[in-house]
Amino acid sequence: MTAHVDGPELSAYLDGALAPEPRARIVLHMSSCADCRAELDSLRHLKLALSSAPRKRMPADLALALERRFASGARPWYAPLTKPMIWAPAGALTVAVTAVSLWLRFAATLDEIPLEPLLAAHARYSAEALVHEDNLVASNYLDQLNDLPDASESEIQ
Amino acid sequence: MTSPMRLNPKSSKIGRFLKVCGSGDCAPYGVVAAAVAALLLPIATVALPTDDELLQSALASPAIPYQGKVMVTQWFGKHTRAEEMRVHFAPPDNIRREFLTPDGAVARISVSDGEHETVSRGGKIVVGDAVRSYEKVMTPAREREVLLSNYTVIVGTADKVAGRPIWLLTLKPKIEGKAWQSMALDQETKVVLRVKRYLPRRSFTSQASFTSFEPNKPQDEALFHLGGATSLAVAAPSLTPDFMTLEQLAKETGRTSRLPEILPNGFVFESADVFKAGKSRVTHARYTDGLSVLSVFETERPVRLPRSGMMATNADFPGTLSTSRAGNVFKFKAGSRHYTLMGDLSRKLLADVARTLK
Repeated sequence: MTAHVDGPELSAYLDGALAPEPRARIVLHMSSCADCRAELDSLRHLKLALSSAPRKRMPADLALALERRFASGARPWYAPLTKPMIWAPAGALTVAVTAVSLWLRFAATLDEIPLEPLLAAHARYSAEALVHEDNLVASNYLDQLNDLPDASESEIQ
Repeated sequence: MTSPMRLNPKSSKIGRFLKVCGSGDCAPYGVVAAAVAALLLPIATVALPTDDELLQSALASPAIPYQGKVMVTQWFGKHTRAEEMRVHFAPPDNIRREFLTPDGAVARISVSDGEHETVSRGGKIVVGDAVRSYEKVMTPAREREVLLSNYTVIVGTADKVAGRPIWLLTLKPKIEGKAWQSMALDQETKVVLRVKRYLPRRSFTSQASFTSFEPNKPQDEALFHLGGATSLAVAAPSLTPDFMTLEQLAKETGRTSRLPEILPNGFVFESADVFKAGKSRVTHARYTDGLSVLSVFETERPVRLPRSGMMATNADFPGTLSTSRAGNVFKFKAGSRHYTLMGDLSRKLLADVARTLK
């Protein structure tokens, strides 16, 4: 007696999907093997039971609804922002704008006149006023002392 | 505090009393009269001087040598700055100021002979032209006239300063927004013992007051010279003023200026000069109302103001205002020129000036 028929081969036999040669071999084996015949009957009953069960039909417009959903962009508003491709140029633009802004500000500062010489001139004029200025602490030349090199204390009386 | 009053030593009742007792037959009354006269004599000697006399004394240089200690205090917003100094003075214009640290050591010294000023600190010395060593365009008489047209002079008495009786001279502005100034003059010597300047309703006050005062104290000549100054001194050429009239200024700059002879709120053109700040040329026009000074700077480029103390502006105040210890600084643009105003004036008065120049 030849070897038993395995499950997949038996299922293919039942579906009529086997080539003539293996099919002939299985028919020959079935004629002398009660176990394989029982297995074939069991499989055939299962197939009949499944085919007789009630079927649930899909809605007719399911495909159309799915297509609409993907095509109409019904995604959340922030969906585009989640794409990394958006952020690369935006980041570059921000950096460029910041750099230009800082440069313009720095350039504007370079163009401005420092206030200190004007304050010194005003202080000088205030000291020349008819009525004495009240701030006796201020000196016309005190600020310039900071720009001079150090000298020893002993040289000053 | 101030108590303006005028004493008339020629009381008519006292005169009649003395006449009756002068007949010789009322000897007991003579004793009483002598006592009353003795009581009245000190009162008569403290009779208030006139406004004019006291103002003249306040503006003149002291005629006597003296020495003493002065405390200078400035209140600015929530900040206070105080500094003590020793002062030595000898007529006509020799003055030595020694600025002291809190422990009494000398932090810096300033000496002036009226022509040159020498300042030393920590071994560094700068020599420059002294204040008031130049003749200004506006004569002192005209400046005094402007002062009296803008301020009310109030004479009174007040508490003693440095233990000495004083006269109090107050210069009260005739319009709001300008600083008041009071000066306490020693009754005996007419030396100014205390100067106080303040703006009502503004948290800025500056005061210099003698804490000790020794008049008629001969001063050693050597006090008014700094040893070592010759070898170390560095000249200060940038502050040399060059006073010009508006006509001379137009000739110097080669164009007509929009700077007027008179600005609002009593300010009169006094003089102008031109100087360099970095690579830029700055025209400095100086205006005075006799007491407060107003500097108007005209430049081709804007002036950089410190961000601290900067205030918001609006339609009525078209420019940028910055407050500092030196007063208010206000800048704006008119035509192609930039203007910067400096003065111890209120925002409103500065805005008035700005609108005139725009």
